[in-house]
Amino acid sequence: MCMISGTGIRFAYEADGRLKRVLRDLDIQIQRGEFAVVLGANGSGKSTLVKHFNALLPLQKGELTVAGINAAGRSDIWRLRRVCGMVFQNPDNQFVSSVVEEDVAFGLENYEVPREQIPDRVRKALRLVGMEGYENRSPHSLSGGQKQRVALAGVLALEPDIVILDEVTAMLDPQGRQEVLESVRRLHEQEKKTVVMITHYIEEAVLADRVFLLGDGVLQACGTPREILTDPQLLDKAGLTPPLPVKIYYDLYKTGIRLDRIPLTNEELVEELCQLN
Amino acid sequence: MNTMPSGQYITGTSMLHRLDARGKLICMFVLLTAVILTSTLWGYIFIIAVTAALMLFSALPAAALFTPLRRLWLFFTVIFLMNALFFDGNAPLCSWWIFHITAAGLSQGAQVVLRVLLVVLLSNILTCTTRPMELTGALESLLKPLKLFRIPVEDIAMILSVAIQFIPTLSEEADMIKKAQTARGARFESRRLTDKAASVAPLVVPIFLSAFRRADELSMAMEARGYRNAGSRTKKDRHALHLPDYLALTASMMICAASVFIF
Repeated sequence: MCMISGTGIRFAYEADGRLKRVLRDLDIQIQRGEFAVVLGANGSGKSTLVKHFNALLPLQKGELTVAGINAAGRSDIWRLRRVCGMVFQNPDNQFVSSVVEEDVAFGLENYEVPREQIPDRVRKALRLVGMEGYENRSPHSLSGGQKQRVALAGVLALEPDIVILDEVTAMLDPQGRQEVLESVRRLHEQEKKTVVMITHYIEEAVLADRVFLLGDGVLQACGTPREILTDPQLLDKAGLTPPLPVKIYYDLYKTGIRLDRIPLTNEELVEELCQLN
Repeated sequence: MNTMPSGQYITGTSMLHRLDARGKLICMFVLLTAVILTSTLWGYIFIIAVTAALMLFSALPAAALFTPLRRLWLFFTVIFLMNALFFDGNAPLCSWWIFHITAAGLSQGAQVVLRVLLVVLLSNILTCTTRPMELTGALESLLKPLKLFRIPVEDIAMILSVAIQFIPTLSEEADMIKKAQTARGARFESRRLTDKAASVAPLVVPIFLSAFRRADELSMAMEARGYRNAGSRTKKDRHALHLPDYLALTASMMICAASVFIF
């Protein structure tokens, strides 16, 4: 079943008297329980696209249904935002309280969840991202990765079906990125959430069930990471470079060394290289 | 990089932490009134003693309370000098051109500085011992009468509390921008007043821009988490005030009365 289904999504805005077209009749279908990565260079419209999923941007043209809710209908907008949570790029700009516990409770209070249920749900959400024990800390005193996990908990407290991650690792150090990606992976595998992750780090796309490659405001391609990431021409057209193992494969290919398959991760690359003799 | 955030809630279990936020807020206003109405030496000594006692009761690290004061030294110097140099008084101790230093001026300057100092300290004690959302709730319930005039009280309380959250972030950013501008040759250390004034522009403009950008992102994040207006949120637990809260209220009123009438 389709969790997110959009056809002919168009988005344009006017700047300096010229019409800037960001999305040009874009079609996208994301399945229930899928881990979808939306990949694209800067300015490819990926952030704009996902902001339509929870109606942060109004649909200008086209059709979009998210979890069975029509995203164009203004009356369902709050129900939509409850089933479709979103974490943003800058960890510092999404906290409303200087106490972790209160911040995670913010969404629950917005939906008028009875007060006596709130502490339990906050604790559960923090446990899901491995941040239990930090209830009374100030977000400012946490590392970048921890901040993003708290932000994720704030979304999970509302028990959404879909979690959208808008370049959540872009401002983190490598360790913070690992922490957040690990939480996201667990969320998808154990909690069976539909995850839509936007990124321009091509290595992160390897984790996906399906990769949606965006370029020039349209969907350039969609398929498994192996299909998309091992196609240098396709990636080049979208302004991206393939992951290092893929590049090494093609470099070796040029010098006459053939590996059995195109490796996606460093581990696969090592395996392939070891099988050479 | 993350130093002690000034004026932010610090977890604790002290007597002050446990008091009801509404009670604390009223107490603070009563004490502020005392600060403003006092004008005798003994009155000030009394209020300083009360403030010191509150600091002890709060069991907060001294650094948390005093750091915000360090940033204000220039402000203090300026108000002191303005008062000392321009206050109209008889029998100047010495005069030069338009400046007359009088005993009354000096004492006025010292008083103003002391008052601001006490106000900052007292409000710090409040914000350091009260959770932000509790403070928001307290503001909300105290401003409730204004709802009769269709003033969106809950939203105003929310705006104030979110604004307080961003003070450390913005001041951290100001430091960073200052360093960045210094690296590109801006001179903040020049002694000439005109240079100093001119050097503020490359600091203020980026800070304003970034504050707007942050506000924009934050409002989007809040909307994404279902924030419509503060009126339709889970209601805070409204306990009645307990005995300690009433005691604190009575005590602060007595302190205020004492500082005005006795000293």
